[in-house]
Amino acid sequence: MSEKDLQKTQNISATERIRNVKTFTPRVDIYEAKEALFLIADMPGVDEKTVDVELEKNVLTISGHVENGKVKDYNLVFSEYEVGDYERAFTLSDEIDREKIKATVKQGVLRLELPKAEKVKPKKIAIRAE
Amino acid sequence: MPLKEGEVYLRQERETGNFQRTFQLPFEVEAEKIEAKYEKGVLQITLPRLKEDLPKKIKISS
Repeated sequence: MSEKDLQKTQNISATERIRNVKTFTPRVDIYEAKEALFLIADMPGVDEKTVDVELEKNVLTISGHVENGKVKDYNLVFSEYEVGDYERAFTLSDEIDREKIKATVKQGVLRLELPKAEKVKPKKIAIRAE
Repeated sequence: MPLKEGEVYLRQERETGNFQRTFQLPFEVEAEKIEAKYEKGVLQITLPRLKEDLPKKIKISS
């Protein structure tokens, strides 16, 4: 893993903040299981109070707020890790059951479960012999 | 992250692996008083400087 891969990327298309802070694009994994899609986002510095998941029409937006890392009475002598907010939006297809989306956050990793709507779940059709 | 059978990645951007990094400190630290906390995926280590190693102010006598 190169060091560049560990750097956060700025989200230039994010809504601009009033405060002068950078907004980063959290890296995500999305995987599909039979019953649901799962979205996992790396957002170090956020917890359940500072992360937001919003669904408007078919746009799912995840955002997180991180307090600046300044420590009182200390001077910063070296900095590689930039602190800022997170934001990223995804368009959902109709196959997701919007009422049943679940979100959890643990150690700065957000995990969303996006269950598939009943009608699109794969169904096995029984075949009768005649 | 390995997936279970029947699961498939639609997008895979996150990196997984171990972290290791070594630092040379510019001053002596009080080893017994080092504190580390890991919160929200961020590690914070406090390394108190050894008192004997602190810069000293020298009084200038007139």
